[in-house]
Amino acid sequence: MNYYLKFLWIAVFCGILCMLGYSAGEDKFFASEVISLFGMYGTSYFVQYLPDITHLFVPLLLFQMFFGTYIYHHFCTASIYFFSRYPKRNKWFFTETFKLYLFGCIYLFLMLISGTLVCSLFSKIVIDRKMWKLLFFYICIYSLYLFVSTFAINLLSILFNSNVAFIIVAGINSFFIAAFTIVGNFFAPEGVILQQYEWTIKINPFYYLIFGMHNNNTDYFISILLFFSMAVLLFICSYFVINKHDFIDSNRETGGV
Amino acid sequence: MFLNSIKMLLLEMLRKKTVVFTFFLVLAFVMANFYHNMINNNEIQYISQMYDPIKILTLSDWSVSGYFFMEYFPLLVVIPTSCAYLTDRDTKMKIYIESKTGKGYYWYAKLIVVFLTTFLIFTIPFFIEIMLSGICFDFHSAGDPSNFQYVQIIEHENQYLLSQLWLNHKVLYGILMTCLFGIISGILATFNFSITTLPFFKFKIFTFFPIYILFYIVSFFSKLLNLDYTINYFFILRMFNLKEKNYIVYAVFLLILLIISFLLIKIKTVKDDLI
Repeated sequence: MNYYLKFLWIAVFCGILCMLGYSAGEDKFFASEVISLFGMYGTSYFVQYLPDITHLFVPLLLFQMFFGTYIYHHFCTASIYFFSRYPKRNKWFFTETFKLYLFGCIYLFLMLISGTLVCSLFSKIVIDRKMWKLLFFYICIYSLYLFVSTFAINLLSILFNSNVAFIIVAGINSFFIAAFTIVGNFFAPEGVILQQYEWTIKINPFYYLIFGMHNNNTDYFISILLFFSMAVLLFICSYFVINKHDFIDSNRETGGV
Repeated sequence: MFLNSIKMLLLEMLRKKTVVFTFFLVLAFVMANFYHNMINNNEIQYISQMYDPIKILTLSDWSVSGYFFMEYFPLLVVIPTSCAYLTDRDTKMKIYIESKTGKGYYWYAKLIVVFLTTFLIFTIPFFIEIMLSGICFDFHSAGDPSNFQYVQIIEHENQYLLSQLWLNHKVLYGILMTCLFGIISGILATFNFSITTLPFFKFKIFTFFPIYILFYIVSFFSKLLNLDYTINYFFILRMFNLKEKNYIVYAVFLLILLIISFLLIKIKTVKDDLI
């Protein structure tokens, strides 16, 4: 676990880089605005928003990359010895899964804190009432998303290897981002998507990460529910993967045993 | 001896699953675009009014398939060669090859092979597309996918990189731009490869992050400095994109990447133990 703790510095680094570009030149910043920025509030379903979306999405991708081996690494080195000390495989797995979720929450918190601190260097930070609501939704939605994607990488790594797992998950992510940002150019001739084509963005999971697409609390809860159900589904799948996996299998990462 | 090392490593690299997979994936993007172009041109009655084949290539700004391809680009560019060093190290192939060719030869040959492999993957499918377009469409077709007025199109065409070449030799322009794209992809892959030789890279998954961090830092600078030209790869690498560009800055940036790659490999040849 200590090995992974140091990767939390990436959150600090990303938080600073994310906010430096936005905070410079502003006199006053509401805390809720900082959270909204991290929640990609100012973006929409047009190609011109792609650089902004990519800029704010890379920190999430880096988390997936660095924590994509958090559970899987136990299967790489001395796995036979390691699992001989943990006979209750499921219990161990659920604890590790929970820790992975916590890492996601801490990562997001650190990113927010470092981002806010950077903002406070250039502008005055005003804590407003809306902040608490947005903070709750941001942590809930984004931590669940991080958990689902990173957990999927871990599971796929066990089945294939970390390389293939990341290609699959990052590939799916990229597809959804590309599909989201191109929709407006086809179905939104006057800036707003035509009602009959709304389904094209609503079937895209990436849509539920964009805070600008949430109009009221119900929308936020729908997003939470969506990512929560995805997490539960993955969790059920993981149960089979872990129990069926032969621990005395060859090391998929390096090819040795 | 050095050429033999390159040949041996290149043949070994081209047989890798990741290389074949990426090649066919890029080809799939290209074929999807070509099919889309065929459908579009089929609906146009006169050959002269069909879209200019070069303007609707996958690397063009007007291609939907190219749009998705560019979104995948940071991932695709590293897939073939990102694990080139880690695999050699873990399977002990590195020791075997080094003992046959020598340490210096191994590292420099590997760097060149990474560049060549990426260059081939990111040019051959696009050359195939140009060839197919030449067979199926007419290069004299003057239709413009923008559907702007003629005067506006002429104005835009003068803003392209090497616009004189575009106006006089369209096919040559397409070939040259494809080669440039291949070279840039090769430089990014060599940079990624040289970074992955650092001891930090314990798992294969980590080998993907240098390019992502690189693009992330670049996008940060575009936000911070409020530049009047784009530094986003998405707009730079697509042909016929009209965003403001500064090619000298891009060239210097690529040169710096290349120098860093060589320096890292130079350090590796001096410090790396054989076993």
